[in-house]
Order: sequence, then C-alpha cells, then structure tokens
Amino acid sequence: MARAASVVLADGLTKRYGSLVAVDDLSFALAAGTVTGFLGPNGAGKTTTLRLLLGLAEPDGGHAFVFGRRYRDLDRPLHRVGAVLEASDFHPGRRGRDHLRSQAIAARIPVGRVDELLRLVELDGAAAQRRVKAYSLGMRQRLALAGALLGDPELLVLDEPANGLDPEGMRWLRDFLRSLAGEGRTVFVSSHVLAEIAQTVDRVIIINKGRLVIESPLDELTARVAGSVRVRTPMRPQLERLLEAAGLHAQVLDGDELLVPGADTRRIGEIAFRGDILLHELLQESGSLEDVFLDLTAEQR
Amino acid sequence: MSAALHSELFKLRTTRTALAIVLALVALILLIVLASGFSLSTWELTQRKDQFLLLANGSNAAAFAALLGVLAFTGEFRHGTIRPTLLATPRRGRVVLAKIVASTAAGALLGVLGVALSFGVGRLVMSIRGIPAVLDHRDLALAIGGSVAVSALWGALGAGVGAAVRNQVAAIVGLLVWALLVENILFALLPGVGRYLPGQASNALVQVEVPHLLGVLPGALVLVGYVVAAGAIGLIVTERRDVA
Repeated sequence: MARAASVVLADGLTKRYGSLVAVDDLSFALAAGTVTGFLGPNGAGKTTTLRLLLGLAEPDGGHAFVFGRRYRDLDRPLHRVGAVLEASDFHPGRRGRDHLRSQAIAARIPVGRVDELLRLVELDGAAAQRRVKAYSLGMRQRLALAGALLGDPELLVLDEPANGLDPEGMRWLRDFLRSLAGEGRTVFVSSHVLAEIAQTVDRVIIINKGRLVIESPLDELTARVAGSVRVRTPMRPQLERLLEAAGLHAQVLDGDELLVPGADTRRIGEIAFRGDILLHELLQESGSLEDVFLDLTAEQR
Repeated sequence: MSAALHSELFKLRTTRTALAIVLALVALILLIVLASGFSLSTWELTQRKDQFLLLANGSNAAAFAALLGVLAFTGEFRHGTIRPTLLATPRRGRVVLAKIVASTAAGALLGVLGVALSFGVGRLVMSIRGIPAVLDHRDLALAIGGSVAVSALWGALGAGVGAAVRNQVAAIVGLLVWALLVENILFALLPGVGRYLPGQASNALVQVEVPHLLGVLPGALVLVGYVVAAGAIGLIVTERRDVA
C-alpha cells in the first residue's frame, strides 16, 4: 500500500535490544476507517511496534509512518493520532481533570474540550477533581482514553486497553470502541487475548517473536475455525486408517475420540458408512477463534 | 514552544510537589537564619562577612530549585507521564527547553521567597539584638540578586541533569553526593581547580571575603556554562534515547 494512502504503515520495521530482536522486519498497513486488532502473545513485540509508530522509540531498520509521515514530524499530532500506551501514565498526585488540561495546553486545545471528554468517559463532577491515586483501574483507563481523544483524532492507537478491566469495564470499552469506529475513525488496538477484541475489530494482524504471522480480515480467520469435526467411535483405529486414505489427518483426542480438521460431518459420515464403522457421535466443531490464534502463534514458538 | 512551556508551568502548579518544596524551603531558611542569627556573637554579626552570610541565606533556595528541576524530568519518567507528554509534543527539544525555562522560572521564584525570608527574619533578629546594618548597597544587591540568580540557574541545571539521567533516585542522590561531598573535598584539596566547580561558582555569587573563590562575574559565567552544558547533554540524551 502506498505510503500516503495508509493511515499507518510499517515498512520493514526492525528493533533490536541487544541480542534480542523485538521487532523483526515487520510490514503492514492500515487503511482509513478500519478497525484492526494487533494480536500476539506477551512479548511478541506489539508494544515495541506501537512505540516505534508513535515516535517514542527509533527503529534500527525500516520505517514507521502515520499519515505518511514520521509521528515526530506531524503537525498538531494530537489532532491526528490519539494513543493510550499504558493506563497508568499519570502523576498520582494530580487531579484527573488537571492531567487532561496539561495535555490540552500542550496541544493548544481549549479547556472546554477537556470537560466535554470527562463527560463522555463518565468522569465528570467529583471524579474529575479527585487526584488520580484515588482512581480505580477502570477510571484510569477511561481518563487515558479521554486524553487520547482530546484532539478528536482520526486514528486511535490503544495498547492492551482491556488489561485488568472487570467484565463491566470490558463491555463499556467494547461499546466505546465500537462507537468510535462507527464515527469513521481508524482504530488500532492491541491485545494478547483475541476474544477481548474479536467483537470489535474487523481485521487482525497477528505477530509473534516480532514477525508477522498473518494479516487478515477477521471473517477469514473465523472461516478457519469451521471445518473441524469431532467423532466418537469404538472402532477408532479403523476409522483413522480410512480418513488417512481420504487425505484427512485426524488427531486423537481421547481413547475413542477423534478431531478431524478440514472436514465436515457429511463427508466423515459417508466415509464411516462405506467402511462399516459404527459411530457414537459425530459433531461439527464450532471451535473458537482463540484456538486458531493459539495455533497460529504456537507454530513459531 | 510556548504551548509546551505553558503546559510545563501548569504541571508545576498541579501537584503538591512544589508546595512541599516551598514548605521545606521556608522551614530550612527559618531554622538557619534564626539559629545563626541568635548564635553568632554581637561582634561577629557586626562584621561585613557574617552579616552578609546571614542575609544571603536565601541562596539556600538553590538546592530546592535544583530538586524541582530534577523532578521536572525524572518525575515524568517515574510516573510514565513522559509518554503523553511526548505524544503531545513529539519534538523533544521543545519539551527539554520548556522544562528548563519553567524550572528556571520556578527556581527564581524560590530564590525570591528565600531572599524575602532571610532578609525579613535576619533583619528582625538584628533589630531585636540591636545590631547595626553594616552592608553597603553593593553587598545588598549581591545578597539579593545573587541568591535569586543562583536559584534560577540551579533550577535550570537540575532540569538538564534530570533530562540526562532520567532515573529519579540516581539524579537526586548524585546531586547530593556531588554538592555535599565531592565538591567540598575537591575544593579543600585543590582550591585552584575546585573554584570552577558549579557549587563553588555559585558561592562566588553569594559570598564576600572568601579566599580562593572566583569573582562575581566569572562565577556567574562559569555557572551559566554548567547550565548550558547540562542542558545540551540533556537535550542530546532526550533526542537520542528511546522512551520505554
């Protein structure tokens, strides 16, 4: 994708810390208006990649562009990009509202916008006047989100925003991100748990050990989940041989249970019927995205 | 640049750190001025040197200014606020300059407070003890101007050191060990070299009749030199080093 057309562009991005290659020749692009999940196990290089994109760290190789430029070269960066890297980046002794004001002043954003955002993230009134050390984790997350939205940015970059949130906080965050995406913003949200963001994103970029594993629309990833069949039969070895002959590689789950990826119940049923195999159970496995995610990231481990 | 500066000044006003530093400064100056004002003999206090030293105690604000300057940077690294700060102002040189200017201004204000306290209380003690003022206008101007200038410059120096070191504990301990130990030893052993060190250069601005120290103007220039050097190193480090 051309540099100018992409909201975010990583091009051969590489970052080393001593002998550790945290980000390894990573390339991807985000188009405007997309909501992309940035996935990978802990230590995969997600946070480092985001730091490189936001100009907090310099790459050892390759380039990181937002809106076709280095973050450091953006004019009025908070008006283009809103980011939350850590939900704990506050001075504990500063009032929540004052934290936002200090950022707003630096970006020449009127104080009215601060109060508007405090209302939006439901931290207005007494909470805004409390010092951040008295905030719960959920309140800190919301304050950080408010900070990211100060400049009404087109691009939002969020690093593990769901970390540590309770179920209520998670639902709030999900609804919030959906409404932001609904406004046409580009959202780039990282997580080490696919399920946390599966309901929010329409694309995923999965990395592991700093390298790209897959960049794909979420529904294509979902399609991989379908097509596993669970079979229970007292004649497991015989069925295994027949499946093998049909080019299907079954995994033994239990003594008499098999999992057959890349198949459907009709086909397995036919194979069993022709081979006179008695079946006790034949089930289309719905599986989970998480399994696919774990499989994908486990391959390189 | 002015937006970054306003943000830095706002940050200084919105934690209780500055207030704590002001209170500590007030307590220390009261303690020193009262203790020395009542413990020095009448003969000593009528000497130009000792009377000057009593009234120039406002220069103690320099240590607090340095602390505030160090915290301007190291506090941001400690609490992680450096990330939102650099996201709002990604041109890091502006952040460094803004912090140095804000710390200089804060240091000057601490100096003014220190001068007002040491003059107010010092003069009160003298009048209670019936000691006549022996300082001329030049001495008074030096005690006032020197104290304010030294405090302002140490605020800037602290900000530069904080930018270069980043680690709060290391920066503060380093400054303390330097000011209380290293400099005094060096100055005692090698006064010809030691007088060019930042602490002794500062002393040149707020003392009279002390052997080996530089004159007022050379002392001020040397101190400004340290401020520029620390600021430049802080700038280079901030530009080059990644932020975790």
